[in-house]
Amino acid sequence: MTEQSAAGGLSRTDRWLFAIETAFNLIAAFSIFGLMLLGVVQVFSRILLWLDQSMTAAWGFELGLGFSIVGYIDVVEQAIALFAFLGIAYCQKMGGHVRMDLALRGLSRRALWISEATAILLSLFVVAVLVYYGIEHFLRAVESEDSTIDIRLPVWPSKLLVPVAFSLLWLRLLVQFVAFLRLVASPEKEPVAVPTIQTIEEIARHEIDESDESRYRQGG
Amino acid sequence: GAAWSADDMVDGPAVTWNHSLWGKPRAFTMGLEHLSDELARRTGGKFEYNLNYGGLSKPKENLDGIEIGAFEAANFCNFYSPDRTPSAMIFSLPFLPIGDWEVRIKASDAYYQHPAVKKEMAGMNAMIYMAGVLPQYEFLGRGEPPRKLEDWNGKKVRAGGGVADAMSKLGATLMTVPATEVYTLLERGTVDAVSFPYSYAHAAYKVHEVADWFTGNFQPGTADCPTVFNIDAWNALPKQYQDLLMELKWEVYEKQKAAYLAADDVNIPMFQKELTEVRFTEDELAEFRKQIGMPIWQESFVDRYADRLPTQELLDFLLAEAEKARGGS
Amino acid sequence: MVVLAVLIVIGMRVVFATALVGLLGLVAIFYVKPNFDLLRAFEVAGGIAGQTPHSKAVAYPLSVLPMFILIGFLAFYAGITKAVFEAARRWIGWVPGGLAVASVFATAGFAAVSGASTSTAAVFARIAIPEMLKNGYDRRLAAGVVAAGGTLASLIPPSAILVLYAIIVEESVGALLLAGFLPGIFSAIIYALLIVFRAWRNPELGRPIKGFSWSQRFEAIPGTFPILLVMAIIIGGIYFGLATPTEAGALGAFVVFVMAIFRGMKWDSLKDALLETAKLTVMIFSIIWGVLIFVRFLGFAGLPNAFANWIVNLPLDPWMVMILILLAYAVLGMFMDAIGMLLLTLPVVYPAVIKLGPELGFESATEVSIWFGIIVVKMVEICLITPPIGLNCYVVNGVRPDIPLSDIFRGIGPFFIADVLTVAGLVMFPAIITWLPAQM
Ligand code: NA
Ligand code: NA
Repeated sequence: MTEQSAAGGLSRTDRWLFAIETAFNLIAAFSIFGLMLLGVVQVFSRILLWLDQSMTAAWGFELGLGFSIVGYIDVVEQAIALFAFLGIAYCQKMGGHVRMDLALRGLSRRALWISEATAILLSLFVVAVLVYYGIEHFLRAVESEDSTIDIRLPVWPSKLLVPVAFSLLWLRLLVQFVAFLRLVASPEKEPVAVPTIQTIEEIARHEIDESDESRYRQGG
Repeated sequence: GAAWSADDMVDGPAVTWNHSLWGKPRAFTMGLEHLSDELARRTGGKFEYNLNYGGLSKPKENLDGIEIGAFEAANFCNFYSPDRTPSAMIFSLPFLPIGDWEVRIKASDAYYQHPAVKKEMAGMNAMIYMAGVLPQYEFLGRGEPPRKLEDWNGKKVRAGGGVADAMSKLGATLMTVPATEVYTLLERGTVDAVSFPYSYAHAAYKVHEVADWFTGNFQPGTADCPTVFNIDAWNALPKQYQDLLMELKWEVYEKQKAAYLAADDVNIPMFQKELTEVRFTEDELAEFRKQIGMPIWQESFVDRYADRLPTQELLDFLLAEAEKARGGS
Repeated sequence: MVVLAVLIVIGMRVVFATALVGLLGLVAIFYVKPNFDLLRAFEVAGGIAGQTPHSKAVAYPLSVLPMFILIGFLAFYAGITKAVFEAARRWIGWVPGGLAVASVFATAGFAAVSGASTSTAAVFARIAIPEMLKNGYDRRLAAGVVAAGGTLASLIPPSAILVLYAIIVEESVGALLLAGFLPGIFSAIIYALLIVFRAWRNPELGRPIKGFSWSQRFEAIPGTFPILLVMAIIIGGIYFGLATPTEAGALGAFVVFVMAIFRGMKWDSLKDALLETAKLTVMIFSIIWGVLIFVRFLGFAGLPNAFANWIVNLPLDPWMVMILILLAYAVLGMFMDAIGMLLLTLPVVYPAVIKLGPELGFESATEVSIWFGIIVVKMVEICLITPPIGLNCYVVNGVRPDIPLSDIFRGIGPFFIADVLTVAGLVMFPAIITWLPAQM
């Protein structure tokens, strides 16, 4: 296999994976939006309920306004798994997970890639363990018919999200590991499919872009 | 106050057990504190029984921890995951005749030794050591007190488990409120009444500061948070330590009961001084038991878990044990 | 601990480094127990680690985090930043150093829709600095006030970091959010007084901006309504018990969302904002469970208890111990991410602080934990404006490359002193922190 096609294969895999990661992250994003709407409904229905009861107290008749979403807390709790986990591979791809890279800044290119590859290899190990035992945790919930407190939603679907999301993360880490190995072998190559270290200035720049009102007003 | 002789000492190898709890030391844990102290004292420090308040697991996952063997002992509450421990859900039924402390302790302890219950727990690699004997629930509320059972109609109440089933049959609106927010939501009228184990939990969340009235003898139901051991850990324990644990169990019950009663001695006079006490007549309660209680026993326990447990047999067993305890005391 | 430090220094993501060390630590703990061989130890340790992500993330109070993050992202579309600065300028510009003082109060106002210090600093670097330079203000002052003002976002609700603190120490999230409000205002007032004093002694720093009529002042008010509304929803909703923090956050986000729609936000921008919100949310959740696997290991090792006993038995004055703890936070904060640092240290430090509480003169554990939470967050925020990292200063420098970093760090100097005074004030008058939540 030529170096050209290796890099090509790597970036193709990278793009495929990124499409799935984006889809997962979109689900997470819309669950957040849904959580917002649900909260609004919850507050307004509580206000209606209060109005209705005040009216009942004052005039003695009931309009039947408002309701309390029974099990709201149960639903929200289970939905947390959607935005707590599904975006995790997307975040890794974008270099979004917190780390300290002060010490890395001074390294030579090869030392840098070796250090990155080591870190990813260890991450691969721990994520694999978490996938395996995440599945066990999920299976325990299935077998024991574990459910939530108020409305007895089954808890296994949210527990299943953990190994699913972490498996995707594992694949992302694997791609990054291969990509770093390639760079360790030939440090002068153009990096493919790996996040690069940002300087503090770049991090600041990112924050600035995020908060650039004019960018948003033009619609993206 | 008894003077212990050297005969009380139990000899054996060094063993360390971890017990996973949550929250802060309180009436509920006083018995276990006693257990930990006594085990250390009577084995000359050989059997170290550590109570961990929250460091080992989240309360809802204590059964998982027992199953995987992360710790040797733990408490779990039946309402944490109802469908996981259906046998323990019996204690959440409203108006069970187990309000008296002695009856409660004896009947629950016997109940957990029933083969069907043991089998269910063994499926999670767990065995129940002793009942948690939470006190009966009562309501504290704001606004117009519910003098008659009809007055509950339309009230917004915080309740769970069997208490919730009973209250919704009375026409109350159920609200889901985290315990930490109860104080504020009651004060602002978002909820009208809240149920908690009586009296210490009401006092712990300072509910009495914002309430106008309390029910003194409603006893709409309770819950249970038994102590469980990991079966492997139990089997690996030397015989003399097993015997010691079983011997100490009754002291633990006594200590716990004393802690609850001590809390009542402080709290109830305070409630009575500051709030209006609502008491129902025996006839009303008997009526309530028949009209509301028994149908829920059938619906929420006997029918609901019939495919997993001999539920009718278990209910009859508990009631018989309660009767026996009442006769014996 | 050493292994964890090494892994983090070689650039491993904090979530994986802490999870790995936690896992291996647990293996070691079980391996030395009788009846455990290596395989069995690994089984149990893996089981504990494997259930932690779900068990720690799936908790209702945490659901407030994405709501607060969403408010922050949508706030940029709602166009409220300029309005709030304009109102502050017209109302308070007449004092010595008026524009800088206006910047302080504008950042404090914007803090009510922003949970993050850096983005607040970025926004005002763009709006307030040009205005100040145009009016001949000292550029160190101009840059310093924006970098420092940004930190108010973490005290005034909504604040992600206060939510996390509340969750780690199992306090009411609502109480912590309320507790941050007055100290945030107090901080802003100290900043303002400092500016007025300096500009009064040396008018060259920044001249008053005068000549606004009362009608002009009142005209500027409506533009700030959105912020007032969000503030009323979040603080009022929690204070009056009308809503849980999540519900209040949801309503706040919804208000900002509707406003953004009115200002012509397009589908693409909404999608971007949601994707960014999701990314930041998963990042925070990951640190939470990663660090908590490590914390489980500490729990099984019995470290928190041991540390608390050691601290309480130190032959030192309890206030001396407290000051040492705060200094340790200041030093750690220079090198570490704020959220990760709090998660890592609190499970060990917090029990000790609670044990110290009575000796420090606090009446209840709740009081101590709320007070300590605000103080610690303030310490962490100070690190955001001090070298070596001082991210807020870099942010300002990024927006205004014409102001050298060295000038910004020098401009920060007086604000650093103001912050030290603020912390001293909060230590001497803890009621500034504990009064509001006690009224709940
Ligand atoms: Na804020
Ligand atoms: Na820092």
